[in-house]
Amino acid sequence: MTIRLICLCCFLSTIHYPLSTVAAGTIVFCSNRTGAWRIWTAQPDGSACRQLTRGEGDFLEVDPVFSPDGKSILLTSTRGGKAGLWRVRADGTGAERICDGDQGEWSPDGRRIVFRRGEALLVRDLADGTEKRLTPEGFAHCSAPAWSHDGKTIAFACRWDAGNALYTVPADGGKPTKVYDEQGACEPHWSPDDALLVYETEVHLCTITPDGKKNRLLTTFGGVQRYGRFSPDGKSVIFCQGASERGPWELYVIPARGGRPRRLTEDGSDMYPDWKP
Amino acid sequence: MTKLPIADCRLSIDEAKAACSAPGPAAALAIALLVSALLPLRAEAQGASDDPSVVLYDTGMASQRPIASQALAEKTGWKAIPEDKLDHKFAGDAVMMNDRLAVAFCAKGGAVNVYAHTARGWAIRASFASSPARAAAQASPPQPAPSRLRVVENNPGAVEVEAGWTGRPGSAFSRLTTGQPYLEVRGGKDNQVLEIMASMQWLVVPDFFGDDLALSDTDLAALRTPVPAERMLLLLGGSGEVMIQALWPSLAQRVEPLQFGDQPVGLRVDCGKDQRVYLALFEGAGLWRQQGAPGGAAAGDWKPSFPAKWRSSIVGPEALCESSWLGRTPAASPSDPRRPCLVYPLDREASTPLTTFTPIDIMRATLGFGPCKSLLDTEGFGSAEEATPDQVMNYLEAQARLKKPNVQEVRTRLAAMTGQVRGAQKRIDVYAALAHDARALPAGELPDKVPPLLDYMGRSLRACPASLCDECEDLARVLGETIGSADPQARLAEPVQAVRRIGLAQNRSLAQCRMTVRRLRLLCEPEPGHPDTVSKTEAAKKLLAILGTVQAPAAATSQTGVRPANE
Repeated sequence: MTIRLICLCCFLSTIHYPLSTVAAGTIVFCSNRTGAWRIWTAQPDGSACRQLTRGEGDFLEVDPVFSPDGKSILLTSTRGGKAGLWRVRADGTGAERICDGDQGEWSPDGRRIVFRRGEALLVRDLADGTEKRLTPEGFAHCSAPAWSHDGKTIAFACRWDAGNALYTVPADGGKPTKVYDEQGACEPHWSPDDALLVYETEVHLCTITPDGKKNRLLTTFGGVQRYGRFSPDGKSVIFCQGASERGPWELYVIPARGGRPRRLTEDGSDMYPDWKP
Repeated sequence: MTKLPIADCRLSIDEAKAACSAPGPAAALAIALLVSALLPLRAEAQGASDDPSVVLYDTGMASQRPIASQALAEKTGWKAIPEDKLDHKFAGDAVMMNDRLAVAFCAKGGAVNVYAHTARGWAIRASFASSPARAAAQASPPQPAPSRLRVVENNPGAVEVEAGWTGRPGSAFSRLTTGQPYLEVRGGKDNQVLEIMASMQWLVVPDFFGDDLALSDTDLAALRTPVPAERMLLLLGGSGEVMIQALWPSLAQRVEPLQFGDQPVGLRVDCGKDQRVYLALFEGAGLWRQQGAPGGAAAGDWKPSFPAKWRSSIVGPEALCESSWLGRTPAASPSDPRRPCLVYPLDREASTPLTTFTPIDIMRATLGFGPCKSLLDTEGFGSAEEATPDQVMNYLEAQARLKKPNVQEVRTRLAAMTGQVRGAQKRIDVYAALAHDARALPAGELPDKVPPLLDYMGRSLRACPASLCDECEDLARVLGETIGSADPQARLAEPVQAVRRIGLAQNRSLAQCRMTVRRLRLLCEPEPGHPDTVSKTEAAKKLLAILGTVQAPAAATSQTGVRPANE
């Protein structure tokens, strides 16, 4: 089955997506194409799909993010029964549990991570294991932290009774500033120059400047688009496309200014992509 | 429950007016139909632009008639209003345009026209005007011209224009977004109703789980009550290449046919201050099809024009259909082969091209939720979505493929599912009690249309007996035991199918009963402007009281997006 999928990916890439037209780098994502949710990698043209993490059992591995130097991957795993943050080498070996929590993101220098635990956001120093709460007590349902590339700011989403909202907060802590609070906005991610955040509404992806201005619809397709991430050169956005909010999900790439989508994956469900140079 | 530890950041969770010197709506429609007929049948406008945007133009000169397709394409002498310039004074007509829709505010041409982009250019599909009065379902020629234009928003993401209408108080805000095939209209101060004019052969009220309601133009001309639609309806027109969808967020918003003389020429939708109405246009050869009836096409080897979930509805008495999913569920066999059958796309599937939209896509994009969430919320099961039989069976099947399935979690979800099924049955029992009480009323004193509707409801209820709960519980027990055994996959297929059938039967029964109650209420409620609906008899008043006992729980809101869950 896996071999068939690899062949399919390769076949599709040769037919539809000449290598010369796609950006460089590696995509990491999670997929259930072999049954359980595991981490996979692929080239940005969808070729060379490869399973990175393995292991039998019902545990889940999701939310993979490349370290800034590209040598490690931070991910969320339920190995052992409890959701925790794990680090693996870029080849999938050397799995090491860091702490309880999920939705981890690296600081630009790779020395710290920001993550979610108990619906609060925390920053953890990877060298000494010290942790500091980032979000104020009154922010009860926080999620999806994203560290800006200049290291100064963290964007995140918070759920209120009135709906979701996007915020930014200084990476060292402080009062969060609201960016946008309509259409169920969540899952913010920074552009490489920190000039834009890509985020998701109930069904589409949008971009917005961190001051809450210039809010633009990025994806204009049928179905549901989720989890957008900029390419390292900022020219493209990779995202998950589902027929409905229940999936199944496939990965697509679109120009960062909007336009025609290009499909990367087939079969199973593929989610939470990250893109390294 | 063990769930995918994904971001839990969401709440738990849509040339009519013509010509020269302002003729009446009927003439306008005739011209629109003529224009439509001259268009090529092959029209594939559903594509994606390389550089999607929305632009607001000033045509420089006010047109005395609807702007022609060629003028929209060439834009000679038109001026694009710079981004974020909101104080522009229009020298000509205002036109907002994306790659799928154009909306032209023609002050001297007498209408706000909505165009769809077809393979052969732009074609008028609808026009609209605001109205300060809720009554008066008759169109009054000439249609008022837009006036008092004000730019509210103007950027590459969206354009919004406020317009008033000559001789009428009130205004409406029209917003067009990049790349989207729909227009959002929001009521302004003093507005009550949005009048939408569009040519149509059928008005369809889709019911994702139950049966559709399909009203022909003849049915509409005779309709003396509001349209019993909840949040959306479809207008099927042209030669199968035009489909217009109207959506509105609130269950309290009413929709009536708009008449001109004896002819239905469109819709009137409640659109008071800050209330929204969405208008989506779908284009393409073979977009919808009528077959079986005189004048309709034969089924033959016809194939859908694109991959999607296509609805097949055989139209019966009282506009009630026998609906099925083309190629997915067994088609109903019409008792009378001369009955028309309408086929149209309703929802997408995994293979539907990204750039192709379906009505359910528009529902999700505008109202913020899909049909499943809508039904569960409306019937009071909003929080139970992940315990529906279909969801739990999806999870169970995924677990069964694993070498080490999470048996405990499967059993926990099966228990939640049986609770969900019992809850749904309680709601069905409420409808059964209503039907029983209504049957006790003297039929002769009730409106003529009531008994057939009660018959329909009775058939629906009989398809969903209370024993389904026990059956589901037994099946859940079997499934819970089987998942823990060696190689469970082969033995799961039959009980899994049986559980899914129970879920579908309940959804169908709930949907059918809800639609019937809505139609009964419209028949019995005193309605301003509709004297035929005033309940003059004691029996009708009693029926209205009985209907009040099944008042639907809190309606869904637009903040009901559901985070992708386990598959």
